[in-house]
Amino acid sequence: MTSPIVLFLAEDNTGDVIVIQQALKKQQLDFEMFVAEDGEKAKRLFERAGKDLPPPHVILLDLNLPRVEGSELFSSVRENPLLGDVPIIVVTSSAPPSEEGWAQRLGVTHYFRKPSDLDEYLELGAIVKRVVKGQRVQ
Amino acid sequence: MAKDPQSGARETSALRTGTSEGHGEMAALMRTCDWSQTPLGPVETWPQSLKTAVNILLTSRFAMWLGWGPELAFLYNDAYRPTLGLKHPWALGTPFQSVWAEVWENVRSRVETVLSTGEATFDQDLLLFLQRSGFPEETYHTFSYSPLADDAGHVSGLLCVVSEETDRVINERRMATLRDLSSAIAAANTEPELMSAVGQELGANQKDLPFSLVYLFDRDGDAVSVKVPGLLSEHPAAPERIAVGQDGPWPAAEVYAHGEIRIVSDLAREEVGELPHGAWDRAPVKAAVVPIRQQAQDKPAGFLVAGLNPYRGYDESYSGFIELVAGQIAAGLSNARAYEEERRRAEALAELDRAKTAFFSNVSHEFRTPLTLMLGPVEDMLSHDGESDSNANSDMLAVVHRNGLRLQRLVNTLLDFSRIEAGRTQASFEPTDLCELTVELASSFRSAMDRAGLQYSVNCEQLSQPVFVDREMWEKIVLNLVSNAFKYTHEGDVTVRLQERNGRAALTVIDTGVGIPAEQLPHVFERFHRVEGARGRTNEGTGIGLALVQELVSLHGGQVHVTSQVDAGSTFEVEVPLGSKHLPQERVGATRGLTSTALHADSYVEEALRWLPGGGEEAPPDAAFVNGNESDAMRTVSLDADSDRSSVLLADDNADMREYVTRLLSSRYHVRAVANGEQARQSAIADPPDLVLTDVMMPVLDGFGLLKALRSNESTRTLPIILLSARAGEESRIEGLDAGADDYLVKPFTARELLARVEAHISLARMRREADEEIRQKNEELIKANRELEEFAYVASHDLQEPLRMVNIYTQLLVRMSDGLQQKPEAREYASFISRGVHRMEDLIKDLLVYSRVVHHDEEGAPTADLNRALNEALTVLLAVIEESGATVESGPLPTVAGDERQYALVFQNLISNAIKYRRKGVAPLVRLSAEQVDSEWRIYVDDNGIGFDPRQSERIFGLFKRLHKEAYPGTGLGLAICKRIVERYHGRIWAESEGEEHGSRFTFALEEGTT
Repeated sequence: MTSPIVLFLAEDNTGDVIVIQQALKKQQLDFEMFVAEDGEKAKRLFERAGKDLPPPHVILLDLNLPRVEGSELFSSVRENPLLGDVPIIVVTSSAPPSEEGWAQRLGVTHYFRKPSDLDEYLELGAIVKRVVKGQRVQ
Repeated sequence: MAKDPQSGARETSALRTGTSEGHGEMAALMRTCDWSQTPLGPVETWPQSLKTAVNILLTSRFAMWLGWGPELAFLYNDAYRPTLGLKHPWALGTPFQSVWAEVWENVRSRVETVLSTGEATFDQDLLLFLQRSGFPEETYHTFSYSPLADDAGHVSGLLCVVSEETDRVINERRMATLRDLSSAIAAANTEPELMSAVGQELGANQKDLPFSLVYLFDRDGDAVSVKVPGLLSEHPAAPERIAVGQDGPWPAAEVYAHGEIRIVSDLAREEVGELPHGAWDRAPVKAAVVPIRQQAQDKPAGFLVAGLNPYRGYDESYSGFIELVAGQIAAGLSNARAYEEERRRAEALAELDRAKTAFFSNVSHEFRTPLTLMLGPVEDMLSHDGESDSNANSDMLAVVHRNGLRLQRLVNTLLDFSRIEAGRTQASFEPTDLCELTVELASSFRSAMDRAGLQYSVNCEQLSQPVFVDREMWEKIVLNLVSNAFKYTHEGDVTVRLQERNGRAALTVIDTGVGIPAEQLPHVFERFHRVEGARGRTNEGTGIGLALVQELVSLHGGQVHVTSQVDAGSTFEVEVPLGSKHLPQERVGATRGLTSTALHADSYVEEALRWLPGGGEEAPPDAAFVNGNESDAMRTVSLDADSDRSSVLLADDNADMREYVTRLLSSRYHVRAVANGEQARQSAIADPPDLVLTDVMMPVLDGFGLLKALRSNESTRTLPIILLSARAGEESRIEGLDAGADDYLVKPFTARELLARVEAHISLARMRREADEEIRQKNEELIKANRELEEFAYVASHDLQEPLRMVNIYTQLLVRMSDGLQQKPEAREYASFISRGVHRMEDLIKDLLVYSRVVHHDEEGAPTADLNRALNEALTVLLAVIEESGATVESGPLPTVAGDERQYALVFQNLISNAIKYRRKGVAPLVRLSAEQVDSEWRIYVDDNGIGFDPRQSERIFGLFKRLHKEAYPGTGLGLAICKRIVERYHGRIWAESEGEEHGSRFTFALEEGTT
C-alpha cells in the first residue's frame, strides 16, 4: 500500500476540476488533490507545500488563471526550493507557445491541451499516472 | 491511164501557153520535167481532167497544189512555193506523203475522207510543223481539199487550195501581247507594280516567250534579277545577282557596256540547267538578250532575256517584237522611276511643311520667354506708377506694354496657325446661345466705333436652337471680322448681323469701307496676303487675321465668303451649320486640352483704339489693373502674412527669369532660387518649401525629372509644383499634368497670374495638409479601433471556446454517467447533435482565431518565405484529408516571396482543403499548383477539378462567412477570407475563377516579386 499521490491543481474552472478528477479516478489512482481557483490562491498553495500540506508529486497548472500571469506562477513554483523538482503538467485550452525549447526551459513535463472530447480528456489520467510513476522511480 | 494524143497536145500547149504567157517558173519547170520518170508518166499520157486541173493550178495566183494518182504525186504552183521552202523543186512529182511526211499524220484523215467520199474538207489556221527551212517550223494554214475526178468520173486525186496564215496568226499574237503589256504597264505606278505587270503579260505569251527574265542594273552596275511571277527567277539560268563586269549565263557585262542586243544560242549548256519549255514540247535553244534602255542615259537600266520559240526562226518580225517588249518595259520603268521621284519630292515637301509648322511652333515658343521678361516688369512698373514715377515715364511704359501685348497677340495667332497646320487644334464644340455670345463680342467694339464716328449696329436674331461652336474660336472669328471692318472703314457704318438661314447660322459683317479690288478678292483668305494699297487705319497687320477666320470657320464645318466693291465697302459672311452632326463627335462637348490662346475682346479693342488719332493716349479700358489697386491689396495681404511667410523654391536656368520671378514673389514669400533641377531637388529634399516653381527645360535635371524625383520622395511627395514653360502645346501641358504637376504656367505669364496661382496652390496645399492631418488622425483612430476589435475577436473567440468545450464534455459525461439516459437512444442522438454543433462552432472559432492572428503575429515572421516549404507544411497538415479523399496534389516549382512561410502555408492549406472539399461526386480531386511570373509579380495558381462555381460569385467568395454551397458542404466560410487577409497583408491580390459549376476552379494569388 503506497501513500496517495498528492496533486496540486491550479484551475479556475470547476467543470475542468471535475473532469480531471474523473480522469484520475478512471486510472484507479489513489490521490489527494489540492485545488486553487485563481493565481493568487495558487501561489499561496505552492507556499504551503512541505509545510502544512504534503509536497505534491505533480502540479497541474492552467496558465490562463485570473489575477496572476502564467509565467509568474511558473516562477513561484521554480523558485520554491521545496517544489523545484516537481513535474509540472500544463493543462490549458491555449495552444503551446511557438518558441522552441520553452518546455525544457520552464521544466514542463507535459503539455496537455484541454480537448473538447470527453474520452480524450480522460487520457489526462493516464498521463498523470505515467508522470508520477517516473517521478517515483527516480 | 488512157492516152489521148489530142488532149495531150492541148495540154502540152496549155503548159506551153503558160510559159509563153509568162505563167511563171512552175510552168517552166513542169515543162522541162521528165515526167516519164515520175509515177504520173509522160505528159501525153495524162488524163484530160488532170491536164485541166494542172492548167487551173498553174494559172492561179492563189497557192494551190494537187495530188494525182494512187500516190498523190505532188504538183504545185508558184504561189505555193514559199510554203514548200527548201522542198522546192524536189517536191514536184514526189508523192504527197513524202513531200509532207512531217504532217502526214495531221492531214491523213482529211485526205482519206476526200478520196473515199468525194467530199471537200476545210480547215482554218491549222497549226502544222513544217520542215521546210531546215527545222520544224510553227506554221498556220487555212485550206480546203477538194476531190479531182479522172475522165471516168472516179476520184483520182485532190486539189488543195491553201493560204498560209503563219504571219498573220503570229503577228496577231504578238500584237496582243504588246497591247496587253502596254495597258498593264500604263496602270502601274511603281517599279514593283510595273515588274509584276511585265511578268504577268510576258508569262501569258508562252509561244513567243517560252521563258523570259528581267535584270536591272543597280548603282554599281551589278545586274539584279527581278523576281515576279511570270519571269524566270531562282533558276540556274537566273542567278539573283550578276556582278558588274561578269557575264553569268547572259552577256550582262556586254549589254551594260555597249547596250546592244545579243543572241545567246548555246542554251544547251549545262550551267543554265533545264529551261522552261513554254508552250512547246522542248526548251528554247536560243535567247535574245535585249537592253532595257533609259532615256538620256548611255547605260541601260537593265536587260530582258527572251527565250526564243524553238519552232520559229529569229526573223526581223520576231526581233522587232522582242525589242518592242523591251522598249515598253523601258518606258514603263522610266515612268515608274519618275513617279517615285515625284512621290519623294512630295514627301520632301510634306516634310518641309512639317518643318515649317514646327518652326512656327518653335518661334512662338522662343518668343514667349522674352515676352514674359518684357511684359512682367513693365506691368510691375506700371503698377507702381502712382507712387513716384512721372507721367512721362508711365506713358512710355504704357507704349512698351501695349507693344508687348501686341507681340503677344501675334505670337498667339501664329501659334493658332501652327496648331491648325499640325492638326493639333482641338476644338471643343459646345451648344451655345450664339446670339448672346455674338452680341457680347461685337458690342465690345462699340466705344471704338463711336469714337471713330462710325454708325455701328449689331442685329442678332434669336436662333431656333443653340449652335455648336468652340467659343474661343467663335470669339476670334467675330473679333477678327469686326476689327477688320473697323480698320478699313473711315466713314459710314459697320453692321454685324446674325441670322438663321437654311439650317445654318449666318454671321454677316458689312462695312462701307475702302473695299477690295476684284482681282484681290480670291486672295483675301490666303495667309500673309495683304491687299496692296488698301487704305486702312493702319499699315500694321500680319495678314493673318482673315486666313485664321477661314481656318476656324472650316473647323466648324462652315464657310466664309466675301463680296466687295472698291470705295463702297465689303461684306463678309460666315455660315456655320446648326446641330452637331457635321462635327467630329469626339470634340463635341470635349474638354479643352490646349493652353488657351484667347486674348479676349479687350485686346482687340485696345489695339483698334490705337488706330484712331490720339487713341494711344487714352487709357485702354482694361488697363486699370496695371494702375495699382489690386497690387496694393496684395501687398497689404503679404504684409499681414509676413510673420508666417511661406517659402517658394524656384528653379530656372535663365538668370533674368530667376531675378524677375524672385522679385515678383519676394514681397510675399521666402524665395529660394536655383539654376537647375538637380539643385532644386537637393534643396527641396533638404528643406521642403511650401511650393516649387520650376522651368521645364533646364540643364542637369529638367522640370519633369525634378517633378518625378520630388514625387518619389516621401518628404516632398505632396509638395505643390507648378511648371513654367514656354512650350504652349497641348502635349506639354498633358505631359506636365500627367507627370503630376499641380499646375502649368505658360510663358509669357503676367505677374498677376503668377501670384494668383502661387497663392492658390500654397493655400490649397495648406488646406490639404490640414485635411491630411485630420485624415491621418482619423486613420490612426480607426487603426487603433480596428486593432482593439481584433484583440477582442481573439480574446472573445478564445473565451468562446472554453464554454463550448464544457458543453461538449459534460453532455458526454451526462449521457455516460446517467444510467437512465444511457438506455435511451434519443438521448445519445441528442448528445450527438450537441457534439456536432459544438464541433462546427469550434471550427468557426478556430478559423476566427486564425483570422485575427493574421494581423497579430505576422510582423515577427521571417522576411522571406519559400513557397515550396510553405506548401509542404500545408500538405503535412492536410495529410489525412488528402488520403481520405484520394486527392492528388501536384505542384510545379514555386518561388520565394516576401512574407512569413507559416502564413503562406495557411493560404495553401485553405486553398487546397477548399479544393478537396468542393470536389465533384465520384471524381477524385486533382489539385494543381503552379507559379508564373507576370511582369513584376508572381502568380500562384491553384487549379482543381471540383464543382466550380458560378462566375458571378467570384467576388463574393472571399467575404467573411460567404459560403456558396452551404447545404452540401460543411465549412465555416472563413478559409478563403483568411487567405485573402494574408495575401493582402503582403500587398498581394487573390481572386478566383471558374467557368461555371462543374467546371473546376482556379484560385490565383499574386504577389509583387519583392525579395526573391
